[in-house]
Amino acid sequence: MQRNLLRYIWTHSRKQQIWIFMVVLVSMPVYFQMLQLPKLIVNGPIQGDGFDSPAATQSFLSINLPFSETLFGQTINVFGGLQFDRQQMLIALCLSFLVAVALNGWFKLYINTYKGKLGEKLLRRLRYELFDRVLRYPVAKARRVKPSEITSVIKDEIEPLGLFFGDAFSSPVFLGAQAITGLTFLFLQNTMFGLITLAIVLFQAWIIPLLRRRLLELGRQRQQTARKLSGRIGEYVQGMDDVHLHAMSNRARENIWQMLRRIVVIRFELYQRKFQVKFLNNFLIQVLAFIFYLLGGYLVITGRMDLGALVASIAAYKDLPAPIKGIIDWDQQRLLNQIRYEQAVEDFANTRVMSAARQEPSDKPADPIKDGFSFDHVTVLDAAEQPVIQDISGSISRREAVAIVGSADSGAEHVAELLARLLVVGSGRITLDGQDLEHVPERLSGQRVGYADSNIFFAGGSIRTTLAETLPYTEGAPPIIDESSSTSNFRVYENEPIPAKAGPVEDESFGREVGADWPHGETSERLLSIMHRVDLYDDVLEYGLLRRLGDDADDDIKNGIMEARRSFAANQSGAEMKGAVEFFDPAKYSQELTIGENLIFGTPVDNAFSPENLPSNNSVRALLDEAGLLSALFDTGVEIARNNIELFGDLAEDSTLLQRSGGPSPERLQEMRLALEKLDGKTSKSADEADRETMLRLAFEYCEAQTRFGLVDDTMQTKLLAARDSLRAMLEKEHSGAVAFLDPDSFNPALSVLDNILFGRIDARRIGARERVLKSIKSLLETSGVSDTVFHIGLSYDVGNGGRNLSTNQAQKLKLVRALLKKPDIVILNRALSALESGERMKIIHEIVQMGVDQGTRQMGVICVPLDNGGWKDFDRILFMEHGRIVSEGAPEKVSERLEAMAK
Amino acid sequence: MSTLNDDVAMLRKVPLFESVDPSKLKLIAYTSTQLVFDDGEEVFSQGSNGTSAYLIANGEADILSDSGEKQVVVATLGTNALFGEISAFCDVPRTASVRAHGQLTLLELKRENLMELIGEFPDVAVEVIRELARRLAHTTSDLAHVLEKQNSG
Repeated sequence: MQRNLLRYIWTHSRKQQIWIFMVVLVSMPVYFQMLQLPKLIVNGPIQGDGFDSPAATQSFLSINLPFSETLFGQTINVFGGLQFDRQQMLIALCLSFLVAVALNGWFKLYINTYKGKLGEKLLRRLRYELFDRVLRYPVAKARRVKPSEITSVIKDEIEPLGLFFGDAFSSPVFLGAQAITGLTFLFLQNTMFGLITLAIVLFQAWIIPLLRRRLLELGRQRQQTARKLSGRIGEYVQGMDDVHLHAMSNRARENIWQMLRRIVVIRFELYQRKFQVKFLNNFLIQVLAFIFYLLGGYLVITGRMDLGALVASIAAYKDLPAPIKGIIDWDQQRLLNQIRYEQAVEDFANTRVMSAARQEPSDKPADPIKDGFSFDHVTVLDAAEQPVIQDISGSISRREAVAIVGSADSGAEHVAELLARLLVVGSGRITLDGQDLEHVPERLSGQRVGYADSNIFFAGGSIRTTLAETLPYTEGAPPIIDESSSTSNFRVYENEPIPAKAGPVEDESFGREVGADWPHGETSERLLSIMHRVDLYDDVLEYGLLRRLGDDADDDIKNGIMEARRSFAANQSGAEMKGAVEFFDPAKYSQELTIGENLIFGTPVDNAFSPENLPSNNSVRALLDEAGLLSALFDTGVEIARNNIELFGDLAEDSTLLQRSGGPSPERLQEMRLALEKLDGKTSKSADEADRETMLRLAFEYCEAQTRFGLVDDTMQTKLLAARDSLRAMLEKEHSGAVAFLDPDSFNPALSVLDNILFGRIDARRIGARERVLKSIKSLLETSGVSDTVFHIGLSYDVGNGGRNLSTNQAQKLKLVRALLKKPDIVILNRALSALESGERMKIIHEIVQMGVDQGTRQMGVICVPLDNGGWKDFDRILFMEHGRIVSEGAPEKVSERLEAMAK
Repeated sequence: MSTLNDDVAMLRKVPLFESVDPSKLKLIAYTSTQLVFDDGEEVFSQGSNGTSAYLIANGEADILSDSGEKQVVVATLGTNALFGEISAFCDVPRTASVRAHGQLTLLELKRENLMELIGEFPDVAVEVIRELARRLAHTTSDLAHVLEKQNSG
């Protein structure tokens, strides 16, 4: 990787840099005109130079052939120009000025936009290259680096470079040219002044780098400290458990505080130095003016120089400080950015990365593995240079199931990691189908070898994307990022296309954003069969049950669910389920629901009908008032508050009993107490609006089955049922979809699949009722044929950041599903499913080993480093390892003595 | 569905809670959980660890004792009977199994809630101690009686 920033910029944006310089050059005459024209306007039409008589005219836009005098001895006039009088000239010149201003502005706009885009493009390339290198880091190195430091480099540290890229070449050339012109002018006016100026500029050129040395060192430190800071913050966030478990928060504060302090110290010194250098620069350049006035004035007074020459010199000098200052600033930027760049790419450039060929993309699926792995005197050393695998030789075919058996320090796991390419061979050679594993493209091993260990990390997303993203993509993926489809104004600036290691995602089975209909066809069937085998099907099915059906769900599914609802209701009369579920019945008041839920009897779609907004919902209030319920509910609210005070009033605020009983929070209790005191016998009519709402809220949230104050008597129930009907009638008349009503005969899209089937509440008083109900529903889904559809819905379950929404069991199983779904030729199980209970694990491993056999021949090789002692007869061969060596091997029946000995 | 007041009335019939203030009984009722068991379902089994006492709100429960391979019904409890209170007050495994005889509705009184209540209202503790002491006296006199019989026999 290029370590010199300027060279890097030049290599990747040569054409653009030249173009930008050309544009700047072209813009100069316009700029010059913009400065020149005001002078012409003032001198000409306004002051009247050349317009001696009212009738006098001057030519406008007269063009002489350049250099014609020198070449032909006379001025050749190409265009005589237009003859304008004084007023016309004023208008013409002012219009020209306007054009010059507009043109100049346009040039500036163009140049700045171009520079910005150039900077962003180069930044994109640099970031991409750095990330590309991270992808090619050896696994051991990648495991060692701190993620947040890498993020900090790629995202933040190189960001300021973007501003510099556009100015890298055009600005020094341009400013340099200006400075040299100024200096030349000065020399032409007066050699002595020219020499003095040159001396001072040279002095600056010498002294400034000296002063800057420390500045650069500080810049380097600043970057390192900032990177460490982000690394450390990342560590603390990741290890938040430990911070709390060991009361380390103050140590963390101290640690970060020290770093922040260090950054301030560095930055402060940096500012001091920076502005000192600036001060010196400005001072030196202004000292020139001092010398000019003093020395020049002295010379004029003593008559050794004429006044005209001094004025001309001072005028020439006037143009000098700006470009010189500009060059010095640019150089400072260059140096700081060079350091920034060096620091950023250093670690990336120093790491030996895998060859790009190893990750070369292809538009074809990888060829199947023919034979398998073979080892030739393979030795592997760990980080402490101790051998973990010593001199092993042999081979493992894709047509066999092999168990590599050994204790934790035997090296068996390392063999599995070695084959999965998570470890690198120290000496010796491993080949896959005769090709050195080192050179096998990852495409082949990634598509053809499945690997699962006890790792449970998932990047996030749904189960569906988690599964889809690891599938090999099959066709239609060109290997180069094609920008033709992206916004076209970026295309002009493209220099060389960046070789992409993965094509754009056209294949539906690949990528982050798979559709909700994935998978289907063969993949779907395979997935279902694997999910059943690893016993993850039911878990996903349950996730599906808890989700709502998408809006686009077709009628077959809805009908299937409705069928399940009917059969479930019919089954309820069976002894098995008796009374476990209370069904929703539009004609019955449900004790399991709150008063509010009983009134609405549906799922609020419009937020105004959600439980917390009901008390302030005017149409509901009007309806209740009409039914004479409003004051009754108000009184119920008062009664609830009274009961609560009576129950909990004597308890201390921090009482655990209060917290544990599921009663109201102390604040809520206090609120009730105050409201009661304030009301003091007032009725619904005379109470404050706020208190009325508080009481109504209490009433609406009251659930008889939960709280059992016995406040909803039969009259109230009847009235509420009537109100329920009139509310529904009212909303249906208005055709408002504010509430999705519970209707026994129709599918409710606002309810989860489970609630749609249940159409009721599971009785919380029955231990194990939920499990029984779920079991019965699952079998009903099976019979009505929508089980797989619900499973499919369950694939949308979010696995959470790092996979945290999954249990360890589920995560390990899902890893296994991923390894198997891609139809590998060989699957490696490295102490997989460690979180499972032994019996279940052995059953699943047995299933997988059996899965590899199709019609009597083994199609999928299995390499298993088992956790359990047993199930040996599934395997064709057992390898025993001790201290990194293979000590014995053979078919299970041949090594049965050893196996038995081990079992003891 | 029973209300809190029903539960309080029921609790009052239990000797252990007989003289506890009704408002505290209401709190006990509130913090308890209703459980429903179908015929033959096990509430808990002998030797298991448990921390709850149960009050029969409705139905009957069989108390079973393991004798060798078989379980023998030693008693059948009816409405308002309290059981499991020994494990609720101290850490001893269940001394017998309990199974629903017909449909059974229970009120589960959790140890932590009982203890909390006792901590919060010492007068509840006094009542409980009084009742337990009465039982102890009862058991002691029973034991004396048995020993006497043994000695004489």
